[in-house]
Amino acid sequence: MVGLAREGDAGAFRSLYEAHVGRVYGLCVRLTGNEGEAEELTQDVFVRAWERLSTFRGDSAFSTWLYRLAVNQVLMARRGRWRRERRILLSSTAPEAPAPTPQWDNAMDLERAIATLPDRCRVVFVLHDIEGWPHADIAVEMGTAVGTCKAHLFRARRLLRKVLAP
Amino acid sequence: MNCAEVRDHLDPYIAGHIEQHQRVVIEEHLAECGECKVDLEAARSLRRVTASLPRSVVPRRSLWDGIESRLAMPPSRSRWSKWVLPIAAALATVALATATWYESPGTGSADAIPAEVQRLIAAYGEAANDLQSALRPDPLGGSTEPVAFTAALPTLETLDLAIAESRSALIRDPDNPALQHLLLSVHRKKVELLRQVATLDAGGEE
Repeated sequence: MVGLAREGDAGAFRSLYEAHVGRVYGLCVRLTGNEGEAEELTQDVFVRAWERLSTFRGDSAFSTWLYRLAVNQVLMARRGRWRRERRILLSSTAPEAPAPTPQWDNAMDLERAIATLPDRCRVVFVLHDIEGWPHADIAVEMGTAVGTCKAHLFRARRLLRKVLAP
Repeated sequence: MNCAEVRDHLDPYIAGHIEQHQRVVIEEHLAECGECKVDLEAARSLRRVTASLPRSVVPRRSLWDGIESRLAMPPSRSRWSKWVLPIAAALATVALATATWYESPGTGSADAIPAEVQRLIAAYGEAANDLQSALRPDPLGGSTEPVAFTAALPTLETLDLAIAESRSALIRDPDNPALQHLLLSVHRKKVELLRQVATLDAGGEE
């Protein structure tokens, strides 16, 4: 199917879209916390995938290549915003107050809570705790240090505890 | 261990990926520190729920029509990317081969990379981020992408992969000067490429 799409077969590419759109949209909506933005980014991801199919050499699974492209697309769209927020981030590194242990029985509550996290905390939390990426890979994608990633993750978990505490 | 060190080890502790002597030290700390114990229980609860989240989420509407209308041209490489891609691919191949050569079963931390190398990596990373932010318009703003930057995207992706692999290798062997040189070289190539792209998109000649 990938080979056909690479030759310009839009029907084959649509089959790839149908097979992967849920996973790509899931990544985009969790990374952005915004359904409308995630829909636009999902479309951008598939258009970019179409444009770049010639660079996919089959060394990894197509899904791996596509999901990495999706993460890259979301992060590129947010880097400008992060740059503007850098000063604010540096001044907001005060430790979070301890929060009680919440009752995380409802996955939907957790989804909504993730959407309320600050941008970078949410990205690190989704990539590390949901997608299973190591801190070193996240740091490279975000253009930051591993220690900073760990700090974002710790803050994300603390904030989730506050939001979800009974 | 203090609280910060314990928190840093909570994930491998929960996953059972930790040396016995470290486990003992952490459990001694947890027995005395209520705050870290709450962190541990919260991390365990969170881990259970995140594991149950579906990876796939169905969008509210079909997105295909908006994609199909943008698939005007079959996938192809631009004239510009035809010459620059092999250069990046060759560089990435060297990086990947070298990273594999140096791969060892040990694990490490990025903190072990010498401070001067970390400083240079951060400086290159910041320069690349600044250039990329300046080159790429806000995708929600509806403006047209710069031609050279669009053509360079596959190359940049290849360089990013080479950076990730080189970095992983250096984390395993942080004092290895060849790996330090390799990682910094790939970072430098990325910044040089972005500068070239900026010149082209500003109206310079190819």
